[in-house]
Amino acid sequence: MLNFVASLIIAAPLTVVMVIAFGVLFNYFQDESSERLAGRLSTTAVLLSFFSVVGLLVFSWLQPGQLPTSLNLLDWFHSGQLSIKIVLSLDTLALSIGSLFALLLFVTQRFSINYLHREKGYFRFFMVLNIYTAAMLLIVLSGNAITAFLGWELAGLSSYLLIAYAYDRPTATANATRVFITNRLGDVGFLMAIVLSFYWASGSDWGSMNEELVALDASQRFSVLGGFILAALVKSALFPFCSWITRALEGPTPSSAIFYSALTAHVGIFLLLRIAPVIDTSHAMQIILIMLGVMTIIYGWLGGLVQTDLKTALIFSSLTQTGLMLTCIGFGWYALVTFHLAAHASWRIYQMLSAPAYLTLVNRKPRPVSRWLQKQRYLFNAALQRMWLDNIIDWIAVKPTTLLAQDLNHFDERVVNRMVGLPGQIDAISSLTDYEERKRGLVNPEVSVIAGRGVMGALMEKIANVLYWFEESLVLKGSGDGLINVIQTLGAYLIRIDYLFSRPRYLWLIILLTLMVVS
Amino acid sequence: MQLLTGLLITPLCGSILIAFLPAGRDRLYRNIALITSVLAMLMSFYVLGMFDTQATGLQFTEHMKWNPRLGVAYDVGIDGISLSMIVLASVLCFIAILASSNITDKPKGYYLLMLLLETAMLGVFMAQDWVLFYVFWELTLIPLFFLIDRWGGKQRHGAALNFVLYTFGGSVFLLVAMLVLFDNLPAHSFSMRYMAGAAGSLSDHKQMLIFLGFLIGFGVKMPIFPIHGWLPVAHVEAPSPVSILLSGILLKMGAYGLLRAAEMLPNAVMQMQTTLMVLALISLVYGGLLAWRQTDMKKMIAYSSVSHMGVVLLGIATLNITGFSGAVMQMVAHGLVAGAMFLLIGLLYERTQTRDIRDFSSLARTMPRFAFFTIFAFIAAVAMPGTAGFIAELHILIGGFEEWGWLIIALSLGIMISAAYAIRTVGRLFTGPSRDDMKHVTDLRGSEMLAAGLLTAGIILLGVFPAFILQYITPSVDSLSQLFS
Repeated sequence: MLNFVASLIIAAPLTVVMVIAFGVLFNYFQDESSERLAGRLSTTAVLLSFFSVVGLLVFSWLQPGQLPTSLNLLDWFHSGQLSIKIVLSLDTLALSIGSLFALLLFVTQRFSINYLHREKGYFRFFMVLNIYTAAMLLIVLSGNAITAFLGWELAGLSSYLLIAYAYDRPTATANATRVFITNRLGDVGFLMAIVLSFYWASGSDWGSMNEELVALDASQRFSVLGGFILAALVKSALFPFCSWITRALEGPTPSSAIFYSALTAHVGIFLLLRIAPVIDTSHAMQIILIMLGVMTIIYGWLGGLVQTDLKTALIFSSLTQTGLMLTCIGFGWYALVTFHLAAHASWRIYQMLSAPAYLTLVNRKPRPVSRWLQKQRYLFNAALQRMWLDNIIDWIAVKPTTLLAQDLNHFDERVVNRMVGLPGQIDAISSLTDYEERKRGLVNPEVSVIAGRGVMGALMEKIANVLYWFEESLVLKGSGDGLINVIQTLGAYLIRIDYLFSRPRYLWLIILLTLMVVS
Repeated sequence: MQLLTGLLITPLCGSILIAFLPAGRDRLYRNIALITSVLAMLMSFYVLGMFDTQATGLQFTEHMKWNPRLGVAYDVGIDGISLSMIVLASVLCFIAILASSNITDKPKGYYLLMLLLETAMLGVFMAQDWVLFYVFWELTLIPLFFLIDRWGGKQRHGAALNFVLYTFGGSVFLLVAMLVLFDNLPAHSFSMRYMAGAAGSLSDHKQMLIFLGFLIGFGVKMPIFPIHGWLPVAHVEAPSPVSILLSGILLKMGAYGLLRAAEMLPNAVMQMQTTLMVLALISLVYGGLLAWRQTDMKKMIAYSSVSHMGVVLLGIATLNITGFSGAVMQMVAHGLVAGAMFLLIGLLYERTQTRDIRDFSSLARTMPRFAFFTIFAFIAAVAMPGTAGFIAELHILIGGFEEWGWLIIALSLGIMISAAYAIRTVGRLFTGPSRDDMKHVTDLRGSEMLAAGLLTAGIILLGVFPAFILQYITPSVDSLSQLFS
């Protein structure tokens, strides 16, 4: 029963994903008439998840101590000493945050039914939103880092898909890719932390892992912690990874609301809450966290002051709040952070969802940039340029990578391809352009079929030619035809002998000889 | 009546029936041949279903005295290896007959001979007595000679004569080896089981000589590198359905016989292991390179058969269970793949009257169904994962690695070469500018689709569920590999 309820939380949205996917595949969900059904399915699934989480939460209040704190849902695989399990944790932190998240997800889905009405990508949107729902609940309710990582990846994937929701717009797809790649950086940290915790501790179950990590020596603890914190910083868009979050606003408003201001932004903080006992033991880490938190606050505050569009302004203000949470984590005020997280998520989603109707709701002119900032020219510029974070990242990471890739490509085309004989030099006419080039004589028209390209190809051609000669002149002619020739020559002799025997004089001779021998 | 004998005489009955029918009933001959081959195929499936995968040793054995003074008996029975060959043979015979719809010249004789050929081939795989084996072995030559000589291509007479002389030359060695073995064993019997048990008592030197005889005899058929001269000529000149049978089953008879000989003379095989491996690798690379060198597509497939049979020989040469399983699996896989390639290229030849790869271009547009099946067949020939060949080559790769370590990389070289000509052919046939003379080629028809689809399904089925065939092979292969440990 418990297992069923717990797995329902994750399974319900995922089932809807499958249903919508098949519906779209078989042309069942394709126009307005089926929007209602898809929307209902989707909201029902989230409600189911919500009631399951709330049910578990109420149960744990009424019957304290009855609910196991961790629940093994699935043994994924064993390999040697490694055993990877999908474990849910049912402690108060998980259940309370989980029920809040499920509620917010439900609200957003309900909102989206009207917001995306008659949109071309209606079904696609709901499919991805349900993936995201499952992912978020998986992270919040995860009992070990592996399970959380699964949700983490699913969340990254779904936010990629929703940022690129309008995939016909180049900016949307470019931003989606940029966000996704930035997120992969955090995934590297997460994965590293998991691997190290498997290596140094016995596994990644939150409770036991924390205890064992605390017992490790400082440098080991620091590296595991560093991995988790990197993941959290990237996911929650904390300093210095703030810049991706504004790019993520390309998606439809409900998705920006739920992803970047309410849930995804807090999931990093939540991860830090999970490993709080380990953070407590490392003062250096705490100081780093406080500094990063303060930087995020400054970034969010300054940036927010100069924004001219509402969604971006809200995101900046939301950054300020998450920065504040990070600072509080640095100080060790975890209960406060939990409360702040819940309150901020609820408030921010309200703000974000009502953003499209803001002007009518507020009904007054937005305030201009404050006086003192207008006077501080450098600060103003920094705020406008979002502290050049994007440019710095471009300069540090993107540009060198692009240049290196160009060099490698050059090397590939000039050296490797020529040696291997690939591609561009393949003589099959693959496109009309090829054909026209060939017609105009730009490419040698009669490239033989049996032409090797590249060093190996030339070698192969040489060997094949030698073997061909061998085969034709020796194996086929020599043995095959040769055999026939020998037999024909022999046959000619035999016919000759036979002919001679059939002459009367030789016949007589033989008879005489026989008689002589006999006598 | 016993099951195997029933299976054996079903096509024979069909061919006798056709022989006694009046002349001029062309459609009837074809229908009878089709029905008989379907019956034989269903019977082989029934045998497959009845086969006990747990038991080792022979099943469905039948014994009848034939010539007791010489110790010759009508002795049939099958183990897992012969079972897979029998099913392959009956399926390919059905497909070959199905693909013969374009034979309009003297169909009576053609279908009669085809059914006779099927009987002979099934007999080879069932025989448990060396004389019976030899009788069926030689019996395949008679219908094949006439099939090539009467219905073949431009140089068919030379090709038919060449084929028969060449394989007959090999058979002489086979016969001599058998007689020497017979002469040296105390109880005068040709029974395979008896000979396998008693041959171990001979001196190593004698065993070696006898095995050499077998190796030459079977090596011609298989074929192994220096004695493969008949194959390209015969494959090219034979009508396409006969090419299917030639490369699909006839070559497997050689490999099958070699396995049986290895069972009998394990000591000699162990001494010859390195030689066999070297021969296999040479065949593998040599066949591949020559296939790449050809512009005639039928000739290309013929040489690719040499290369693929080299893989089989390599599997046999490993002398361990993984390699043997891979060899048998490769025999089945190559039967299906080569069958599919000859079928499709044959159909193309019927439509365009050319097999030169330079004459084709952009066929994907005019013949999409043909393109699909052909591309699949070529991909399967490269042993892509998901096709039967992959499972086979993986087995041989693993088995070979156990035996020779990194030397087995040469196998990958062969695979790479096969990829070179497969991709080249696919590119040439299906891409490029459309040509006027290729615009009116008709696509595959129903029965042709059925034939190609059956082979494709078989390739995928064995590639995705290899356990299905491995369960039949494993017990026999296991007991075979015990002899070498």
